[in-house]
Amino acid sequence: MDLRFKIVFGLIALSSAVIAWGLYRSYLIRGPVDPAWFEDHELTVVAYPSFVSSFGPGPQIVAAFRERCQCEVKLVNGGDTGVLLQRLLLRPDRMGADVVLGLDQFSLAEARESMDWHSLGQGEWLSWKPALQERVEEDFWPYNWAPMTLLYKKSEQDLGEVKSWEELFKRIEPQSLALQDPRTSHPGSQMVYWLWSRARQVALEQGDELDIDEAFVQELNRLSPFVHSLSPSWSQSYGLFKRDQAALTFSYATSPVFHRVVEEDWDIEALRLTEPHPYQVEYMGIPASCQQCERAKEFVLFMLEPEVQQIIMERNFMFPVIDSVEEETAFAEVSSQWSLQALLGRELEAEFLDSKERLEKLWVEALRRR
Amino acid sequence: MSVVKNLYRDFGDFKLDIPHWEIADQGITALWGPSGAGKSTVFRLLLGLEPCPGLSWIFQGQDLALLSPPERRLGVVFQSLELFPHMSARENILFAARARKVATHRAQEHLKELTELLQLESFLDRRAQLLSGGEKQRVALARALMGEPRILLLDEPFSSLDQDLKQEARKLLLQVLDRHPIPTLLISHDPEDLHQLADHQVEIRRGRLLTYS
Amino acid sequence: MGRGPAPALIHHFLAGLFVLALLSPLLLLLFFVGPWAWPQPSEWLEVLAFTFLQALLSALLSLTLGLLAGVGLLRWGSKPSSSWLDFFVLWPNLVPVLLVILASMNLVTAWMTFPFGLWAIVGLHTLLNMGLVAVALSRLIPERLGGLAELAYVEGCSALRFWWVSLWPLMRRDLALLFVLVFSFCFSSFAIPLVVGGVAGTTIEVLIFQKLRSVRTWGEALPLALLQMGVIFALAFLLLRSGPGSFKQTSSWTEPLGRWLSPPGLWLLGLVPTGIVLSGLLTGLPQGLQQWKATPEIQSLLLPLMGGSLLVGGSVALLVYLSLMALAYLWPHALLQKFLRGYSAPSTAVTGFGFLIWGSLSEVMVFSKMALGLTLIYFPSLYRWMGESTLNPLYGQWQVAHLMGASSGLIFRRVVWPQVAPQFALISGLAAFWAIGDFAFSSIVAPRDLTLAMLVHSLMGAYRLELATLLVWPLLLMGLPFLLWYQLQKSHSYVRR
Repeated sequence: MDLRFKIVFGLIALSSAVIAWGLYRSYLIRGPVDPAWFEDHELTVVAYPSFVSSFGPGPQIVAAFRERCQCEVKLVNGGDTGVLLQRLLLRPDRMGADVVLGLDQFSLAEARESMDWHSLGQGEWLSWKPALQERVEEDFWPYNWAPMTLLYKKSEQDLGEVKSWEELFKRIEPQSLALQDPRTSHPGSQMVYWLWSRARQVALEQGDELDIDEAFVQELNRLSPFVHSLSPSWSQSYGLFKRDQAALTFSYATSPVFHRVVEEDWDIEALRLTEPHPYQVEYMGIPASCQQCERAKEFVLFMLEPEVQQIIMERNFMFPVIDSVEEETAFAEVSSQWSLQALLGRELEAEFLDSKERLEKLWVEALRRR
Repeated sequence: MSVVKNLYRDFGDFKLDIPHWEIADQGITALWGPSGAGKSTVFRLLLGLEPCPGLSWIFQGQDLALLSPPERRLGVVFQSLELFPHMSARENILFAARARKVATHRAQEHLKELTELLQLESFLDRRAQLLSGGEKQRVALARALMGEPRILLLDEPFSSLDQDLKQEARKLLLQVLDRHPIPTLLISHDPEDLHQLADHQVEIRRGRLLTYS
Repeated sequence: MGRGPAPALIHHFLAGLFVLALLSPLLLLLFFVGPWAWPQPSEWLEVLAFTFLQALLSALLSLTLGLLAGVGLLRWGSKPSSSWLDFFVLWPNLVPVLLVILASMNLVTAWMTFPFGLWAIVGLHTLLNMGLVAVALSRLIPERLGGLAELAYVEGCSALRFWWVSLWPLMRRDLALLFVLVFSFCFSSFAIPLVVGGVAGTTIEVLIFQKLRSVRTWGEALPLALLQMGVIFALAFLLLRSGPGSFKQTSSWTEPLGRWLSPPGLWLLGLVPTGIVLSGLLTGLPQGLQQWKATPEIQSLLLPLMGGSLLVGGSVALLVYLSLMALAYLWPHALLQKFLRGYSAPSTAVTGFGFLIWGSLSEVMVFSKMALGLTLIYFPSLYRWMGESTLNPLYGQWQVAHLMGASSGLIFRRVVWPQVAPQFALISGLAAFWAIGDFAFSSIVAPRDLTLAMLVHSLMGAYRLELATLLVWPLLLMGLPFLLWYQLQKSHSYVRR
């Protein structure tokens, strides 16, 4: 045989060996995390990447539920929350989802439009946090939440005294806010919502002279010099902040807890304004196409048990929706600070959602002209 | 005599127009003319490498133009020779036998004969890539003959050789054709080729045939 | 090749299948998602112009700097160490984009405020792509200019004059191919324009992703994807329409030649992006180690996920290799080649969505989808860049063999395959290298982290940037099998001379 042939066959053999080894190793992934990953007829929970990942709350919760129900549970990554719904819709089998986790308050309407969901009731017997009581929907229940705000580093600049946007703009340098693009990121939409609610307030105060869109553009023009960048995702803007490229970033009020708990770093602090903050609520629901509907309901209830709520809190770094879970944990202090915080009311959301697309366009336009 | 009819091709700025051409079916017919006269186009059209609607080429009662290029069974040596560089000289030659599904023992016999005739012995197992110009040229000729062609078509086969080697190559070609009397169409612009090899000459200019002799 | 007799019917059929396979993600979307609608021109016209401009400038700058660095790399000639050098120069291709952004921002802001905007995008794209251009050119130049360089050297021509006279006329097509390659990367770029574009950096890819994010607008995504592909198709057609003029010179490339043609120290330019990336990879290492120690569940994941990465990389290499072989079997097929000269794969988002529709969520199926999808994404660029120029010089041999009556199977086995196999192995090795670093496509189709790159991406999304940075190191190590492959090919092509 020709030398060339030998080499090529050698290469193919080598790569086959690599593939075989890879297959063998990858089978090990399944072992400890999820033994029944591809069997049929188990309860299928579809969630987003950081919930499903080995360092997220998913595996631990699923393991606990498996023990409780003595049944098989499959945990599936449905992709970033932005595409979760589309993934479900694209597949005729709806990914076999019995429970869907990770829809936020802005995606509920679209979720209802695109497919049917089981009714869950109001769960009156559960001890919901008072602030979250009004967020319980007939077909979707919240399982965690967090106020959204700007984070800064105390060692760089102590903004603890800042209580309003006005004061903030006076204190910070131009190009210091690492934000997210609302077209590609959910936190990005929350920021637009925040700014819009402020513009709405301004417009109301001025009566008929100013409509909300005009006020929104005014607010945008004030904000724009302070924007450092618009990242496609939260992780990128957070990276820019973490590595000192931007002085502030838009994130969850609970983010500092991660650094306190995991890195013993107390430098990162969340800004608390007297003006109301937006907050993100993450929901779970049961698609009408579920196979294991009863199990799914059990799982939804299981997600709200205090022990499970604590797992979610400590691994997702978000607040629980059930009362008193954070007592005597690293979250207690932050939770008590934010329990008195003014938050944007639910009633505003419908109005925002109606004009969300237009506002996001205005947002991009205004910031582009910068 | 083989008869070519309607050898016609329009490239816009160049037209090939040969309504009728009788090619001798014995000995070497040389098609000669200056560069750009259309020699290579004739060559490619006859081989079937380019479409030529309406062409007919009657050889021994059969219209070759109706056959696909491989079915025409033509032996060909291109100017660039196009040996398979990764194969030895022997493999190059035997490839033709294999392509035509010639039985092994027959191919071996034929190879032996060609080796002697074209004096290939000394480099038969050398890689084609490593052969000298003259050696490559002989291997290409042997490969063309191996498939037992109806007609041999040679496109400037000696153009890359120096004078001495050319002389040698012409001698070998005549010897081979003496042993295997295959009608041959030789394309060349070298007057020496015409003088020494051609039994018949045809001149081509601006896409038209001028003289027969 | 436009010339030549018509291929047999079965070849047309197989070529059709091949094209269908390449288009499958689009076709799947076409049938399953709808109704289709064109978005308002006001929405995409300006974006299209900007996308084009940044890609054009990025490709030009990448080519210029990559050419300089490639000339620099010639000094290392065929020394074994040059493969290692090539490997390091290719590094920025494997590192997650965020780390490259952070490292370069870190560097720039030490001196000045970061220049957000068009030039920042162009700069970062150049940082990512110039290494690839440099390595490609340092391999191509000896092939194309070797003989001439020898002559010029002996005749006493100055090196500068030699470059001036020979480079453009003799390597125009290679440069055009590389231009189209880098342009198509930058044209479908996503994160870089958004982050460093100073808010102006919206590309068509961002619009596509935006449309796909909502059920209400996803009908507008496919037309945008087609627009994106159409631009690259048109560009490739325009630049590469004159038939391929690839040729190989048989002369060997000697060390004196390298020293003559390559100014001392210029090779360091190729390592500049690597250096910047490296500085980013060293930032926060102590914190990374701390997070590593604090997260035992990730420690146990490392080996399996490396296995997963190698599995995906190896499968992509094998699939790309087999596809190239299939193409070599069908070659020469005029229509298929015309198609492939212009065709560029639909974007990651579109391919990912197309692949979501079918198949179960079983592990075997997901790995297959990852391998297949990445192959479909990489294959068109790789073929246009290196595959076509490997096959075309064999056309004369193919004609002779065909006239002899050899069947296409025989021609493929005895004539084409033995001559193209090493180069095809190299191309598939490069595909593996890219596949190992992919997370964008994988994370759309995979139900959880199955490769190291995906884990790195997930960690970034969960506050653990430092740990993610730490884990990029083993990711880079996984490029090593590729290096081995590359080394074999290189030593082999040396044998061939």
